[in-house]
Amino acid sequence: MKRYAWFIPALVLVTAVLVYPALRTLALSFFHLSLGNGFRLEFGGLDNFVRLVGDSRFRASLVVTGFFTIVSVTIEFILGLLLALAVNGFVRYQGVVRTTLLVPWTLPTAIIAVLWGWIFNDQYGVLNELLIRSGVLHSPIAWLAGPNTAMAAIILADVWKTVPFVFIILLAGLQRIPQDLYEALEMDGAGAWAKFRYVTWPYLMPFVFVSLTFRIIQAFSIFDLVYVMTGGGPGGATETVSVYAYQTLMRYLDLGYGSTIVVATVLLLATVALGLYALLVRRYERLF
Amino acid sequence: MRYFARFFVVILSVIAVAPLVWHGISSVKPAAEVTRIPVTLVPAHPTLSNYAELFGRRAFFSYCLNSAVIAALASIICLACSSLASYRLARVTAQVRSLISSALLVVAFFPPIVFLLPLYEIIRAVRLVNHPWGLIIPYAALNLPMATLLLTGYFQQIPEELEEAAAMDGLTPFQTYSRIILPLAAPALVTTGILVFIFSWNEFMFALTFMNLESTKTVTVGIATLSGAFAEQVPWGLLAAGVVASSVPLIVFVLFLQRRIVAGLTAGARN
Amino acid sequence: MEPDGSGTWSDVIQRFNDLHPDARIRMVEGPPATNTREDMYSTAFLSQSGGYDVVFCDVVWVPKFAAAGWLLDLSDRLPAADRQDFLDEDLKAGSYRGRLYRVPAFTDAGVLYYRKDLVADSPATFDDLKKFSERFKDEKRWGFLWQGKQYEGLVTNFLEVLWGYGGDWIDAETKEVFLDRPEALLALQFVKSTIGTISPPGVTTYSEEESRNLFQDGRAVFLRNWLYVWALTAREDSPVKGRVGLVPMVHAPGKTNRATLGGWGFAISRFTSNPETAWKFVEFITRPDQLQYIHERLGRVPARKSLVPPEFEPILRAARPRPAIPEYAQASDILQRWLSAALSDRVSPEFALREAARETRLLVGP
Repeated sequence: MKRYAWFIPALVLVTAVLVYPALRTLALSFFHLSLGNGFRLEFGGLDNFVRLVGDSRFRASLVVTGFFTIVSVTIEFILGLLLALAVNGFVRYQGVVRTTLLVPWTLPTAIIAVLWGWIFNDQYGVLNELLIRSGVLHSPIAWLAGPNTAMAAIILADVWKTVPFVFIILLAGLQRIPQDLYEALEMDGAGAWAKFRYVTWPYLMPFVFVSLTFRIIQAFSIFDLVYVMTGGGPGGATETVSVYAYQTLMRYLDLGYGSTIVVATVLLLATVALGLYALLVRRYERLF
Repeated sequence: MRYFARFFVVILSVIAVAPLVWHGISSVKPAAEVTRIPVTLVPAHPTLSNYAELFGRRAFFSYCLNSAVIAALASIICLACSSLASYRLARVTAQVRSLISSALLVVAFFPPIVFLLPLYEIIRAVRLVNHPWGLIIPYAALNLPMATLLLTGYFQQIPEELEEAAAMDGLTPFQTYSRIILPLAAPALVTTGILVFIFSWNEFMFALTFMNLESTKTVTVGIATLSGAFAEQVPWGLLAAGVVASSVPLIVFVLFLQRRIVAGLTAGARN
Repeated sequence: MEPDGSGTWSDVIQRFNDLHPDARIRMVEGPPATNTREDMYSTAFLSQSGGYDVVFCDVVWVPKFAAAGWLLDLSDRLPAADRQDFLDEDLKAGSYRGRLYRVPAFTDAGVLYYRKDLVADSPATFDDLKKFSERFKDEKRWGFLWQGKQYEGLVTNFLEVLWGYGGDWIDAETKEVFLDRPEALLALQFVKSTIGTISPPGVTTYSEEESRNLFQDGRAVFLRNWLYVWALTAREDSPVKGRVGLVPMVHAPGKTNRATLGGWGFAISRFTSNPETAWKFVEFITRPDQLQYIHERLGRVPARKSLVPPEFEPILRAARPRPAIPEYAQASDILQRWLSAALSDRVSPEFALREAARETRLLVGP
């Protein structure tokens, strides 16, 4: 019994705040409850899920979210890892560099998104101004007007914001690696790649796992940036699942169907992530 | 190689701070100049009127104070709960660990928006609307899965021999945890703490819904409810000033904390 | 409430509290984005509790909030004299199924601003708009600015053109949908043809302020926007001071011009614990003297016939409300998405309107 006492505070906190809303959402996904039916709770079985399968807007938003997640998390991870490796080698100024690199993470997305919209503005935007002055562009680009450039703008803003998150977690992991392991390899005449491959990477694995998992989760539920910068436009080209779910829940007031969108997305994401987790655990069992 | 690494870090550091610098520039432009074409990279008529508005007409200090208290308590609670749990989690069998981690992850998969409405109902029911605890507890909980998994990875790499030695010295498990394990894990605790602190400082949707009194507003909501002379106007300069004024204390705080860690680490290494 | 940058609302509320020492009205400032404020109210209402007693309510929220049963029926409380004085369209827009849920305070409508120093006769038709735009645009000046971002503003812009071609969107009574009629296609083709020719390519990312700033800086011949722009262009520091005229949105030959009705009013939450005080406050703040005070400070146009400035009368006569259906937010989203898709060349205008019509019919039913 005593062994489990350690979990009690965390368990109480998670149950009180997260589990009840999550279960409620799960339950609601099987019900009809909306402005349309006068907010009467009616059991609908799998009705909402059937509707979801035929919902082209949901499929489109899933594709957008998937694309966004894969591209932005890949870029963020590579940049974050390179930065962590580079900064870990710094002897002096490490504190200053770490803090400087953390700056984007310290800015509030809900407000920064408004200012990003301004930076990407075709007429007053500083981005176009800089690109034109440096001769890269001849005439201004309306970044948020085209489906592809709007997506690129959102990815750019997100990468900028979240590289520090990956970086700081990986750096914490790097600093845990015992130096004598490297020294042992060096004595065997191993090169930089061998050191990375046989010491750094396996030791970093749990941190890679945590940073990637949470970046994927955060990227998959991206909301603020999209909602403020493009509103999901043009023509739904940047509408993510979270934006669609938010609109359905809060603006169309369809609580049943909105819950279904969330539940289906979570199920999908959980299948992928837990599969990945099982794979990793098998591969690096010692470390998990 | 080393020079290349430095070059890379310098370039990315510049990119990291460039938008903030730009907001700093915009924040000292008069309203008319922000929308001037061509864009002026150096303000033609610098003015501090946006900051005067922020600190004079608005209770900006009080917003910052609210946020600081909420974020600090949320980080401490989150760290306390998650470090206890992850210390045990690091010492159970792999099956139990992956089971618990998976359960935590599934909860974390739910996008924050689905928590908004049920939490609002709970917060109202326990009468914590416009009360700092109405945000502290949700923030601590929302970050708990991440903090727990991050710390578990860290605790696992602390050799168990240490605990056995501590037990032989007559320390109870809790004493071992608080006197030996926690100090060893200080870098990870601080890193996690910083992430939770910044998350709580910057959170918007819950803060907007749960806090609506001028005296209880957090800094993000404070900035978001700024406005110009008329309702339709988006006060770009004022927003930029708000962002700069809210992130500078945060950055100083992080810098200070980092210094402490580095100092602590070198002290630890010497012993 | 909207953010109170100038302190005007606090003044009015303070006056009310001074007059009624036993009642305390407290203002909650939300962010400037109206849909964020709509969601704040929705969250409070969905939890079935009295988070807010009085709602500062946009016209398009009325059907949704009323259909959800979140607002008190105010029909019998409003005195006949007031009913006479409030603008008819604004009263209608504050009602749902014949019952009044929102007392009008300020009216608003879409306006076509033009540079009267360039364009001698006020423009009347879409051809005029194109012709004058072509003639007076140059390297530093665009022809026509409007709001093309995927949001509610796009719908209001499109509706004015659609009505100007004699078309319509949804009939709130019969639930008929007209989006796949030829007039709608003409309207969309017109809007689309402006992009990159007389309007900047970025116009499809603009909301109100982006377009107003350009116009006020002297960088366009025409601007479609709301009434608030009028006072701002006339300010001392405005580069276009004294050079701006206003008309309702232009129309096709043989048709009439229309403006989309906007505006704000006050409603009372059904969950309020104190309906009498709430009503006293709504009555107080919609009084002519208070509205006039706010008008002078904020430039908002009072929704009372006796207080409308004469230059706005032609615009307000042309104003028409958006369809009063509970599913309005969703119907608007369908239209926004397909319009935006057509304007950004993702699909053809024909396809966009056909799909929008199909989805809208599914939503509102026959």
